[in-house]
Amino acid sequence: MPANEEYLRSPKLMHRVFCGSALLLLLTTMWMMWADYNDEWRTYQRKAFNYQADRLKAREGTLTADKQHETKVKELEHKKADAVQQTKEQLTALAELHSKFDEFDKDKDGKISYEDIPEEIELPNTGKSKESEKQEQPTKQKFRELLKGDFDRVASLKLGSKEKLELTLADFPTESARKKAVQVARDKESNHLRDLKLERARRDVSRADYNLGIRDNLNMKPLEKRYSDAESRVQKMEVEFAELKLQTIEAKMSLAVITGALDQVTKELMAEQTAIGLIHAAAAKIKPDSGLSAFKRSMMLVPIIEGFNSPERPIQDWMPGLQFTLGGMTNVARFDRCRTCHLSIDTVDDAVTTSIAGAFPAGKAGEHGKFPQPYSSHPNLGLYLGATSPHPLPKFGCTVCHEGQGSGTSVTNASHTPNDPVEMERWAKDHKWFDNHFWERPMLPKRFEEASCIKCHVNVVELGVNEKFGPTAPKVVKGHDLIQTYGCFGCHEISGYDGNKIIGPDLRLEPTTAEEAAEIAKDPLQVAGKLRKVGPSLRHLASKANPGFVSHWTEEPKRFRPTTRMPQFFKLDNQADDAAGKYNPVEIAAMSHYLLTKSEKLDTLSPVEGYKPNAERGRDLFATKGCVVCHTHQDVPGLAAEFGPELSKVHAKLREGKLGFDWLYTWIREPERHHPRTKMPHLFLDGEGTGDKYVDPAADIAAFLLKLDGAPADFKPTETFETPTVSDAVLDELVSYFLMKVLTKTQVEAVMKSGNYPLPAAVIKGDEIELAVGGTAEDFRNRKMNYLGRKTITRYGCYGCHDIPNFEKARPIGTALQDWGKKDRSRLAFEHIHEYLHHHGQAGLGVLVDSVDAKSLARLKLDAVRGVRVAKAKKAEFKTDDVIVALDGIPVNSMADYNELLDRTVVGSNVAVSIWRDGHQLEKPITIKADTSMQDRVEDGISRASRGDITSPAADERERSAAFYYESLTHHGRPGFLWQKLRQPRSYDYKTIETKAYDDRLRMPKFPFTEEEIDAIATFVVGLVAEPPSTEYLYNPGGAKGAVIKGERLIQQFNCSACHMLELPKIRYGADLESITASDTAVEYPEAIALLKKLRPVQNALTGEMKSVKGKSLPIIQFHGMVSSYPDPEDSPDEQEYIVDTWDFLNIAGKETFPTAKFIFPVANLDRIDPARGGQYAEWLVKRLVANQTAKEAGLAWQMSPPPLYKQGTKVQTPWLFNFLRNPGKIRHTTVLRMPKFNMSDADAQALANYFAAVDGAEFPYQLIVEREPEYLSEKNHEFHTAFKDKKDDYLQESWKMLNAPLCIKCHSVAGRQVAINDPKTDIRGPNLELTAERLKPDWTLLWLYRPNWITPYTSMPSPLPPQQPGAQPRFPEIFGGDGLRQTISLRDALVNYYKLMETEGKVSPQPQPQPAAAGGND
Amino acid sequence: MRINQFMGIRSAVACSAATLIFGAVGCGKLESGANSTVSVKYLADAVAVAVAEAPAEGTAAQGETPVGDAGGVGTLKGRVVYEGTFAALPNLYEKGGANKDPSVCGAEAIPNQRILVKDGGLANAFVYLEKPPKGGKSSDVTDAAVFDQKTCIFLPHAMVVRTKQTVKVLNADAAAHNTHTYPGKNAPFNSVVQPDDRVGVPLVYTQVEKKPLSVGCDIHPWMQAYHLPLDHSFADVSKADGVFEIKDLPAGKHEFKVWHEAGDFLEKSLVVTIKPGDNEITITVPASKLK
Repeated sequence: MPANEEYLRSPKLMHRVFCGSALLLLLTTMWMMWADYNDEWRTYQRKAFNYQADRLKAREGTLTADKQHETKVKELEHKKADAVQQTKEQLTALAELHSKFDEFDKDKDGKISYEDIPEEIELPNTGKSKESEKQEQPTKQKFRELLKGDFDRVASLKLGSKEKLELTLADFPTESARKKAVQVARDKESNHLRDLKLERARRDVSRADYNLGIRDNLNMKPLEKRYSDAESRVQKMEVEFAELKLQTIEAKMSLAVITGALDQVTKELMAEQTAIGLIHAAAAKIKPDSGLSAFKRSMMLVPIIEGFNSPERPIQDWMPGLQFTLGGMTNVARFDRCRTCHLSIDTVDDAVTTSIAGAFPAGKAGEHGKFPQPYSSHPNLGLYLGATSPHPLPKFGCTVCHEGQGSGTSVTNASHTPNDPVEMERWAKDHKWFDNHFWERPMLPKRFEEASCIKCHVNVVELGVNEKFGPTAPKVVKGHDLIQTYGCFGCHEISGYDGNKIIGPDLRLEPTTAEEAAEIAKDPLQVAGKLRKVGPSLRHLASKANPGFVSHWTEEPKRFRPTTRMPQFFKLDNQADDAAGKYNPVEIAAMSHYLLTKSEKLDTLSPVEGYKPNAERGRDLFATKGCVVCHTHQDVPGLAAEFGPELSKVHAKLREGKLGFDWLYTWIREPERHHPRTKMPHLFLDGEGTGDKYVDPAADIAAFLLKLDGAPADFKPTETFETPTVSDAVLDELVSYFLMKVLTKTQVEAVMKSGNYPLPAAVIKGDEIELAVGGTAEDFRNRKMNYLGRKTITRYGCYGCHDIPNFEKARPIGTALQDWGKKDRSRLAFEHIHEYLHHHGQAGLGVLVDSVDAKSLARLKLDAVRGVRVAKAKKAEFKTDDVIVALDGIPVNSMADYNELLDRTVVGSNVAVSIWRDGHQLEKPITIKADTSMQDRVEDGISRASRGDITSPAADERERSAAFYYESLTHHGRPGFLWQKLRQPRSYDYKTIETKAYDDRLRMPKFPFTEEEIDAIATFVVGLVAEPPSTEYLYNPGGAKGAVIKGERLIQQFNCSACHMLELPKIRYGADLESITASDTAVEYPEAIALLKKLRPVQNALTGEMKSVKGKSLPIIQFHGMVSSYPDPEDSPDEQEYIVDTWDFLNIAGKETFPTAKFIFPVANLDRIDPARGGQYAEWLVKRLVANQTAKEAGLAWQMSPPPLYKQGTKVQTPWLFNFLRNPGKIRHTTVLRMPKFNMSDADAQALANYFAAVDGAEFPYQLIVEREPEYLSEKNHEFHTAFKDKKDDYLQESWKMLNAPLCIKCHSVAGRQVAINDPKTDIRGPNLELTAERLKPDWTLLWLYRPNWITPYTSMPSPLPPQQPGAQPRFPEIFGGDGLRQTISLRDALVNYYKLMETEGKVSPQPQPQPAAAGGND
Repeated sequence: MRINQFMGIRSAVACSAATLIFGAVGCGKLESGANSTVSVKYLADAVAVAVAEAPAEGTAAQGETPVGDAGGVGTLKGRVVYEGTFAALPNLYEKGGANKDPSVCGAEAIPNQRILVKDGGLANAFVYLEKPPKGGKSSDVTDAAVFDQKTCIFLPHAMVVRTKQTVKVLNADAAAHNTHTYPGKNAPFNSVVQPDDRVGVPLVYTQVEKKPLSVGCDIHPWMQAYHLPLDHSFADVSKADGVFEIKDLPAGKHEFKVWHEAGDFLEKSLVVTIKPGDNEITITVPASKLK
């Protein structure tokens, strides 16, 4: 169409449309830019910047206001002014010298000498400070003094004395000349260096050519020449270069004469002001001082422009070494942008210098000095994120520990996870938070924050016991320990290895047989498990228990022993139907039948014929021989040991008569007979005494446990357990049922009829072998029982914890857990759990109760406040105003009792409720099923928690925790699944057993875990992801650190710390420093003090903290020691005091106190006593021995008890300790019990021996014994013969005499001579000295000989040869001239060389007994 | 004035009844005049209650030894009497019976010195003030105390020493001993004293102890002695016949402690009013108190 005047649309309109759309586009673009710009993180960053600026300004203020700083700056400014003045004077003097040089130069040869220059001269005013300006008259100045710098300089250059110098004017250049000279000298030097480097390279080339020439057989002459020419050029230039370097130095020295002082003071002033300057600059960067800077900063924040180096920007950390799998497809490095919002997460408070503290401590919003997330600093920056911490931020980032989406920069995108539903609701409201299903690794909620630690810390123990950081992840450690204690790994393997690559914590059973162990040892791609089965061996069960008891126990273990760790397999949720009711008793009976018929004979021991065990004595021995270390018994109260089973009822379960007695006797005396891998140690309970005084401790203890009064044959168990009767019909039904799975129907019928199994034994692999062997018709029932028993054991996996015949090769039956933390949630069978928990799953009576108060007593006709009142009865059995006074016969006195009892009740079990109704107690308790709605509980819990109704923090956490897991469970989360699995393992079978086969029912047993324990276990299992970061992150150290980790694990395993103190109590108190007296060093050998310092380095006792006591502020001191006397409540409050013995060598504000020093302080001064690590038994035993007067003094009682292992590594030789642990011999004769023999492998014993050396920083595993080396001995010999010229014997022979002198033999057997014994009960008898050479380290031995109580304050060993006062009677003057120091060292050397000396000198007969009249001599 | 035994018992009963009812502290006060004798008697099963001539009025301020207004100093002369028939304890070892260093320790029988009674008097009981009384002038001590060992017996068996006083630990035997103290507040001392050492090893206590401390010898475990370090002279150990004497006590009320190794504290707060001149007291200890 041709163009014409007519338009399709009115141009005017079109202009408007165009204008409008353009505007719209512009606005949209701007809105887009704004929306893109307005990120959530900016709000957080701005606020964080504000906090930082405020903090910096406050810090600047404090520093500036600091008096010390102020005076320092003033002082330096003064100095600077002086220096400026001095420089000016110097320059004036220089100018004066130049102008008057001729006057001074009397000879006019252009030279002047020092004396020629006048001492004083009038100088023109140099424009001094204002004060001096007033002085109009020029002052006389010390002229020569001002020029002194140049004189000195030249004198030092010419190596002469300045008085004799003859100087020219050139020796006093002007300032500019000096500056220029420096510049020129520097240039020359660097130019020359450049040429020199070139020349050196040429020389190197010619040398290389020369070498090549040799190889290639060339004509060497020209090459040699080239090289030597080049070399000589280089040499020459090197010399020149040295000259030039010197010239530069000289030029600098010359300038320094004038400007040196000023430069120095300027530098100092700057340094003093730098810190404040930096802080000021940092604050100004955020909140600028000037309008211009503020404008600049605001411009930098404008959208678009902010793309170029804006102060606000996402901050990201890149960890190429820490990769993770994205969507299961590819590995990518972590990019963490968490710091974008958590801006101050690693900001260290530089005002605190004593420790590493965060600048923004975490707290609730509004709390003074505290900062809420995301503005707070990370807790414990010394451990996490800090530059010096083991987890520095740039290397670790955030998500490797916390998980979440590191690249996200908003609350939701980062996949934060709330800790409980209450928090979740708050977040949803405040942050529009929702659960982002598309990110597979949501952040771990706070309750699981420790879970990630085990990714790298595969040994776990260092997270619980850590010398430097303390227990850093106690919850995950608790979970780990629970799994170890309860033996979860028996069924659920937790393999720490993929082949031989470490992927996580390793919790696996050790190989069951030697063959299996050997096979694994051969395979380089396999690592053997290390853990023992946690249950007792059932291999010799028949010699211990009757069938009735075995069935009774198996059905419900806690019925017999409430504290047992054995889980319950029967009478659980999915066994309440008829089928289970019919089958379970038969299965239980069959299991017990199997265990007892397959039981192997045990060679039991018996006490000597006719020995009548004494139960009363047995009770005492139970305490003193160490049984109470692991076991509790109601008749020996005091120690709540949980390591071994509670033994109060053991008399009810053993076999009658001598059989049962002998079994227990054998078990106590030689537990390894019953089970070679038992944790129960061999206690060396051998018979003691002779004739009437013969005591067999094991028999006595057995009699005590069995409540036996009479001969072993008289033993009668206090309870009888009926052997359950088995219905043959049900037995056949079950046998047929299981056989149908392997045989045809016809075959099964034939078997049941004939008793003959159709296949030969050789081809049967399964449990059916029990039917095939033996094979007479008569014992068919027996075989059926065995078959069913074995089948049931197989199904329930009993062998995961117990050693059972024929199950040596059986594999764990449960799901492996090493990567359960990332298990696909769709593979978890939640079944009808939601419906179940709607109505069930919570132990409760279905009533609402409240507490009974004093007011309602009369109305309820109660005599005293007791019970809880029913406020609302939801079940017909109850009425409102009923008072529940007891549950299962246990009185209920308060709400707390009621809640606790219900918490302990198994959901769904029957509870007998005793009720007070209408003024009297109902005759019969109401029996009611303790099962109410979990959902109700959670809803109630959440609402109470969010209202803040729950006062106890523990209860609050319990309800929040339950709500969290319930929430997780209803959303098919892993933690929720696990939680319910551990609470009610069979609840997942709710409404499924009707449709599934009998043997498909769930079999996981119910463990007696509390909800807190389940939470800890969940934390551990959630952390099992089998995704080890790269090896550099894996914490599996070797050397001393590794030895400590291994040792800690074994210490836990063998319960070492129950007897032995590994660390002494730490005492902290506010000390009046003036009252502390330093130890008297004058009364000790200086050598002894030096050695003490070496073995027990001096500890600074001052903590730097203060304690206010009665208005006085006292410094807190801390040290290791034992409280020897606690405040006596009978004393008046003012006089109550603590008396403490130190074990440390302390420095208290300059005063040094030796170990054994006593500190006495009033009660009010005590800050804290941190209890000892371990040794509870020793402490308990000491008290007992003193109370029953076995020991006269606590110190003597300590010598009878397990010794503290304080600094053991500095004491014993590692190889000896290894042997001792493998086979502990008797060392001390004073102890009431012996170190038992644990069934420890060589590897375990080595690891433990290494541990003790490693924790004390000693060398291991080998130590050189210098004192046996020929060099040492010959030097000693030489010294000895120099000092004692008339001596014919050599040094060691003389030392041997010392050792055999009538001193050591008083208490120690030595050189084959036995110590005389008067009364074995009271005599103090030291270890046989024969042990020393291999056992003790020489340094330790010497220190012990100097001052035994420095090492062990309570020892009976006296200092044998301490320094004597002048005039004292000499000791053994014929040996080493009576020199105590020499004698002491010689004792040590004789002990170290004991075997050698026994060989050569052992024949020496003991010296004759002393004559009473031998005055002045020695005996 | 002399109180007869009967009166004493009666008021003791009255007093212990009062103690039971009112929990009063007023019992156990003794008022005795110059040259008067007061007897102290223990009730077999009741708390140790001293018998006063008349019920005391008012109670002494806690923690401070009350001192009367009257000036002058008095001497407390007393005797610790063993009540009951005493059969001498058998020797620990007969002559030649000790197996350690038999030539020395076996030379004589080793007596059991735990309870020694002579003419009805109980030996080795410590009677002392815990703190020096206000205004009391303690006698000076300059000489070293001597603590000897002979035929494997400590000599003396019980002694009061002064803080900072040197105790010379001697040995008259031809065998070494190790003298080992078990103090509460002082640093423990454990040193070998060589045979026939007549110069001795110095032992110094720096702290006052609340009660006598045990001294033993680990080489000869039967050896036993007791030391009581105090910073004043108001203390004595009863002699073989039970007699003791404490001099220079300022007139007024004093709280004495009575301690014996076989009965621990026989009296933790025995209040005696001292008048200038000699004061006499008899402390009766029933046999059941000593174990």
